[in-house]
Amino acid sequence: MINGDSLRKVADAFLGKRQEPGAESAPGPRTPLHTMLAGVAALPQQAWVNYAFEKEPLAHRITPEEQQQLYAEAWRCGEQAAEQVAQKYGTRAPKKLVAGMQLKLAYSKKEMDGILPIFAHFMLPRNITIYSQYSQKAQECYEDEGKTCLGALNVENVLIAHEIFHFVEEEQKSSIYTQTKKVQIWKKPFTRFSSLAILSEIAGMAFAQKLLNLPFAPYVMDVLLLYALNIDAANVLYNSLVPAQPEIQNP
Amino acid sequence: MEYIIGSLLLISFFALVIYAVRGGNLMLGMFVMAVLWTVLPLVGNALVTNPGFLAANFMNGEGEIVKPTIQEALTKVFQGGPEGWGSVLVNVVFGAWFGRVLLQTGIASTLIRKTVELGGDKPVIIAVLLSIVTTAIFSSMFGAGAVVAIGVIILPILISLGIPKEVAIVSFMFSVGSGMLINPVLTTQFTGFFVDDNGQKLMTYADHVRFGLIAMAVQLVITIVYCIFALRPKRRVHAWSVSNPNKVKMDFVPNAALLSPVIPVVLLIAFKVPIILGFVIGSLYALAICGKLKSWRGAARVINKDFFDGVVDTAPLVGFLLVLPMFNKAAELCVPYFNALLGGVIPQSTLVISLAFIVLAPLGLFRGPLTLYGGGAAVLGILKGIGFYTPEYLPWLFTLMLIPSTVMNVTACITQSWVAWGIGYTKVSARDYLRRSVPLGWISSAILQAINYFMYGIVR
Repeated sequence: MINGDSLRKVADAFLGKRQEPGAESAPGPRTPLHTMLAGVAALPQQAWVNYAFEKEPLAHRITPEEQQQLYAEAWRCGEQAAEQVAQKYGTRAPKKLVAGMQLKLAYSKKEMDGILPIFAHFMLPRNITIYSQYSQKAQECYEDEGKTCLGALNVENVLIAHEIFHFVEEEQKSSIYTQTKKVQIWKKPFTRFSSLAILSEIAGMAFAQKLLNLPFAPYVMDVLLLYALNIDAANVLYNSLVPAQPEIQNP
Repeated sequence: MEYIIGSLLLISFFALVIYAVRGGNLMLGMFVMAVLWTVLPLVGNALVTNPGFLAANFMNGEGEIVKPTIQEALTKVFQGGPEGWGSVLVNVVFGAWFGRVLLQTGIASTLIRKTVELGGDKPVIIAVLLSIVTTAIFSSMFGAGAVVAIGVIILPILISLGIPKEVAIVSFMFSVGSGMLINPVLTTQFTGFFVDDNGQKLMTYADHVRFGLIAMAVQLVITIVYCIFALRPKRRVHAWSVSNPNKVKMDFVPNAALLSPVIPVVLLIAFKVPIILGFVIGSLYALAICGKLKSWRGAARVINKDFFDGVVDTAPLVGFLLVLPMFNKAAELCVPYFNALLGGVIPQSTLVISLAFIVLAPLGLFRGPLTLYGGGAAVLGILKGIGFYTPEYLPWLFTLMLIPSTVMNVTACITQSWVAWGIGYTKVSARDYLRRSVPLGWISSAILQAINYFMYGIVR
């Protein structure tokens, strides 16, 4: 029987050794984790609007002003959903909500890095999967290197809270903003309206922040999770989010 | 003696398969095989005494036994082989240049962006439309560089839409493979195996077009059905993912430029315009529409750079493509010995052989005995030797070998350079890829072999 290593060797033989994710980027000097987290936690909302819509394939069909408005509305939707859920189930603890909503929570050790590293996902009808090797590693990194800046943080809870929102929106898909909001992507004579996948993700972040009373936008977690996976890639992300500070000249 | 030589050849053939599966460098493997398959038949020719064998294989028109000399054999394998592949390489280089033009002008990325817009908020429709566009693009474009350049745009889009990465990579690679079934550069490589004693091609791209179009449609439909099945609503996924900070820039080009990817193939099929001229016309059209030919100096710079990049794209393939024909030519020297050993075993019926190719389609994986990019050259040699290298059987034989080479090897196998890149890029395990690609490839091969039999295999 051919095992996974053998198959990888065969593939390598025809292409040469693979690069690790992020290795293609020359990141320059590395920034300490606590500095990166403090830097991104202090970013204004506009930075997260831009960051979020970079992932939306239809983004260039929407003006920057519209993006700002959509972001704000989706954020409000997520916050409202968090309050409703907390009230209905009488708890803000993600794992208790998982039990109350009869969701299936699974932990996977499967490698989900690569071009688009995945740290957690929700799959219909009610399955949440946490890629635990990354969440555990991120938690350890935070405890060891980043704790001072953001206070107490449970990485796994943030991931679960975000994924719970996707279940909530599926339950309310005929009425919730993230599912009903359509934008015009084509003009006459081929008028076409479409919903935007990114609105669900924005609302999921707002849901997690409100539910867990986080003092920062959960997008900050992207830097932490990526740091656990690949320090250089996290540095590249940090440098793309936080504009370089001008060097202080000695008098 | 002929059976001993035949057995040694067969053992060395299986050794090559094992070597490939264990990850050995295939270019060097092919070279060693070319040497072995030149030496063994020469030794056999010197020692064999069976009059029946000699008469069947070495008798000329005047009844004399004339065996190839050492000089002739060496020239045929090590000089004639690579030289004969020159026309293939030229096509590869022009195809790669055309690919670079589509990428550098932003035509490819614009086409993909517009396709995504057309699909709107429906991941299944986007996946299906991207499969169609990818197939159209790779009906002309060729090369690992082109697949990588398109893949880095398409794959992140598919994954960011919640499409599982295993589904994304399989649908992308099968779409590339669908285009390859009609791709002139790839087809020309296969026609290099079908030449007469003077090096004249017995099969041309034009001979392949009718089947190629049908095959492309069949594999594309299989890919679309797979997308629809794999992305049925209850399997929809929302993922917390982090996008690559080094995003690929999206371009904007005039709508008229979006026709460029299919220009060479359309010109070739509809107006019989030679493919290299088609690549030149397609490239110049794309550059002109995108405003890259406004000044002589600017045009010279752009064309020079795209040609340079295109040649660099083909570089990893060139070494392999120049050693492979040595092996092919050496396989021709071995035909009498394979014939002696296997001629009585292999059926003479196109129906039985077609059925065997359906059942054994996975032997086209891992550079096995059914792919012309691996041990298939020897199998082709055997089939040629037992009476199928005649004009009435040629289209069937050509297509018989093209199917596993394109579907199982180029599309479904992790030893294909761009598949190896793709699974590394998306971090899909080789096993997860093969678990999906092999059944799909097998289904595609079976349908295409059946079509081949009914189109060309029933010879009266």
